[in-house]
Amino acid sequence: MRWAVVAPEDSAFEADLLSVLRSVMQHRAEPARAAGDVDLADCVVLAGDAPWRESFVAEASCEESLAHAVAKRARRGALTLGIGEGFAALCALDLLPGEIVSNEPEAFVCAMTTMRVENAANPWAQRATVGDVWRMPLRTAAGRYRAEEAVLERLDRDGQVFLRFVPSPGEARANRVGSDRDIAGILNPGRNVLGLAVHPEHAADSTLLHVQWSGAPSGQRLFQSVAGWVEELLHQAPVDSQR
Amino acid sequence: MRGGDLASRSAPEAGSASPASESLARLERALGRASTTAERTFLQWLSPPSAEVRRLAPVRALLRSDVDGLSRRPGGEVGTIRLGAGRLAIAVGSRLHVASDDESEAPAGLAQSLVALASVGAAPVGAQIVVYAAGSWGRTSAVTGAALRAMSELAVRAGVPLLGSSLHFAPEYGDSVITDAIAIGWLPEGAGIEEERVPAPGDLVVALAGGPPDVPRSDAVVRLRRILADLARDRVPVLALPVGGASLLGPVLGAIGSHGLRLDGGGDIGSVQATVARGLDPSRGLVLVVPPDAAVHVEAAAADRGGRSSSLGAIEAEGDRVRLTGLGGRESGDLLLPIAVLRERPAPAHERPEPDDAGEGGELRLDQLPEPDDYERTLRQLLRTPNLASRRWLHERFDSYAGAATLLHPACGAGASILRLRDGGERVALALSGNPRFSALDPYVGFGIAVCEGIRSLATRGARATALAATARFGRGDDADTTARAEKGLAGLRDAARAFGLPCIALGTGTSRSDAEEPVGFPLFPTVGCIGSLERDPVTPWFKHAGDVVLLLGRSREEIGGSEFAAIVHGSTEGNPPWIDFEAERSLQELLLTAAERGLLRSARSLAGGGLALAVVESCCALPEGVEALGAHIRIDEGMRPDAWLFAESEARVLVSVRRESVAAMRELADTASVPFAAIGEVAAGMLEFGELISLELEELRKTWGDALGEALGAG
Repeated sequence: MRWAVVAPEDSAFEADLLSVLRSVMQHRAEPARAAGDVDLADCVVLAGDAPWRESFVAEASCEESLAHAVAKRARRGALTLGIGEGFAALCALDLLPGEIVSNEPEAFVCAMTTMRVENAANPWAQRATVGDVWRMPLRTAAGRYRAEEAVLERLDRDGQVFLRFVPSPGEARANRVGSDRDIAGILNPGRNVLGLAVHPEHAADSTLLHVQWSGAPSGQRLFQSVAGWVEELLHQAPVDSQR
Repeated sequence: MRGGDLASRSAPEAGSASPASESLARLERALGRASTTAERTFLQWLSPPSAEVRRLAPVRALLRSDVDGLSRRPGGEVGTIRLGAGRLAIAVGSRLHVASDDESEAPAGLAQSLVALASVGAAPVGAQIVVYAAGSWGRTSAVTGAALRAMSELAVRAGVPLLGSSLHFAPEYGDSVITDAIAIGWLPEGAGIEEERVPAPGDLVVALAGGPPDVPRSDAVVRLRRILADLARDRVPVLALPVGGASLLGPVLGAIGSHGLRLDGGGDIGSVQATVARGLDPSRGLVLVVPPDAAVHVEAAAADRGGRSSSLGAIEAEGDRVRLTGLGGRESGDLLLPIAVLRERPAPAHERPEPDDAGEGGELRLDQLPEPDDYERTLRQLLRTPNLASRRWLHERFDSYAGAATLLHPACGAGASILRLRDGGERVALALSGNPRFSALDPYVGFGIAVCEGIRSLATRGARATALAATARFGRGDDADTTARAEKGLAGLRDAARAFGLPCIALGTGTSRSDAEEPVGFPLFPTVGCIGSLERDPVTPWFKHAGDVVLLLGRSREEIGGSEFAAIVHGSTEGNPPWIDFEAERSLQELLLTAAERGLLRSARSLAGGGLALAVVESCCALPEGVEALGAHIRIDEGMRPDAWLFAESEARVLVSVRRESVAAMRELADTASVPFAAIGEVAAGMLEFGELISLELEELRKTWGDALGEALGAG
């Protein structure tokens, strides 16, 4: 399983993803700094902060840019995961509908939260079933998913809602960012693009106590799902046709 | 400070006892004549900018540094200590501003600590912050909220997890808001910039900034880190000196040993000073000492990463003087200032008072205060107090996950955060402590308590303290009384550090805005960071199983002076703070570490603000996601008045829960260590009860305590 990590250079976003994918998941993961760096990846993952997202999206109009290459591959069906501001970038590049805006109420939130898996028929939930409760942390000032009513209707009707915030017992509110319809993650119609408001890379390492106490490491399940999906495809068809 | 303004001021009146006039007298003795206006201006510029810095320096020299692997940078804001397969870097930063300032000032202390880490080439792995603000609600909530947002944004953009954070409110803080930060970083073996480089004559002194002044601090910090990493990678020999909290060139003067320093003027003293001041915002820049042939590499590296470098002067062979050149106009020729004039005053020599001394705060006798007629109401009242309410609201406003190394989330770490270093896998613990009210009542005791509480917080997690870092604030004014109180406080810090044999790796003080017309004052108190390491998973602080026995280790006394109970319920901030007993603290620490090693502890929590009652509430309610809350049945000690038993803040006490079959082993350990031991109740489902006096549903308790801070700060 080969990952291309698209994130601000030398940032904690990049380091955390590389560390978890390599050390915890035992996958191959390399930072992607230029368009050519994503060519051989089985999955591209995007994460970063707001300034990074703004400059990344702004460069997409240039055909030589990394953003252009990521978008082009995603439109051709390549697995693409956007986390946090990476989710916002996928929306801004029209790879996912709607937009990510400031939290409501407006405040930075860093907290473990609970979500229900709404759709398991996709590459991202091979190790889950509909109704499973996952726990991953929010860590954002802008993680609120917002879309027009018609878009929200379509997402629900077409099974594009992947994760939805649900309160755990005793908790008043899991949707700490104020997302429309409690949406925590959505898929594109082809199911190859996923945007997540939460951080699977911080819910994968079960030696971290907050991951241990939160139950099964949900981030690990997500990454394992993708790897399982890729492996299955590799056994079914020549590599080139999957990319 | 502005050169033109200073130059027009006259020298202090003869006979004044202030440190400033002492320095002037020493200058004139050294010169053997009356000083000129320019010399006085030069002296004032190069002297530490505030009494706080002057007071700090001698104590820094007294704190233990004879530890293998310890390295402290001149200036004192950052140091490193060996740990496993690398070195741990610890840096302090502090910024004080008035509430009417732009909130962008709030993160300056945090940025300063990150700049200091960058100066030794350490990658930041985490930081803790404390915010002190006025307790008069209304404006405070907005100001504090804005300050928190600004710090959160800086930490996220700089990629630094905030592993813990706290707020302390008191009306005495007036319009001031202070943020203290302690940051830790990691240097794998062989990494980092050359630490042992000794400045040599001919070396250039260069100001390095992470960009122009309008660049966000987060960007400036990241740029500085990258510039210094580039220089380290290219083996460019630089000595990087953070300047936070010290005089503009204080760290340089501290580093040059017996050499002299030349500063290159630009026509007049004011313009030189302005240039230097702009280049040396401690939250955006630092000073480099580099060989002449390396200057071009520094310039190129700075330009490549969007930073700025400018030459300030050079090290000279002729020692013990600072020479300012290039002055034109009325002040023709070079100005010379003996460095000895700028050297630090002798260390304070404060004798520790005896325990039976009346103390400074006067007596606050429990028998003069009415006993609460409704203990449940009193407990609820205290739980809603912003200083005692749950910090979860605050912790959730900061990113504690960046770096993927947070082993124990601060919301359930009881003040001590635990992280795992990525390279070596070592577990590091960090706890911040400081109680301004105790320091106000008795500076010696208040500063000592801050050290003891930090060490105790680590011990309850099973971590042994290995080093200290601190920022200290010394109150308004430069008068003899303020100076004497500051010296008592610093002596308390020094004695506590010595009692535990701990080195102080970094010690700093806060600065006001660099362009402030007048320095902003603040009461006397420290923020102490205790750093430790642990070899196993930490002991956690919440109750685990119904039926476990609750033990109180340590002696309870009717000490309510300076307590939250006295302040909130009786409106009194008078009295003596709890007494500190370093021997008792040491014994308690060893007992906890042994019990943790033997796996005897189900939970452990240090007693501090709010006393026994708050420690029990926290053990019931401060939980990670997915863990069930448990209550407890706690008895009331018949030998004390109940309000003292529940709310007094005696030191050297810890609340632990153990399996019933472990009680005998704990008692034996406590007896051996001469630590007072009492089984005071048991963990139970559903309710929290203190004898017949208090009986509260857990759900109500969690809501009262858990929501209070968010409600007080506008739930924003």
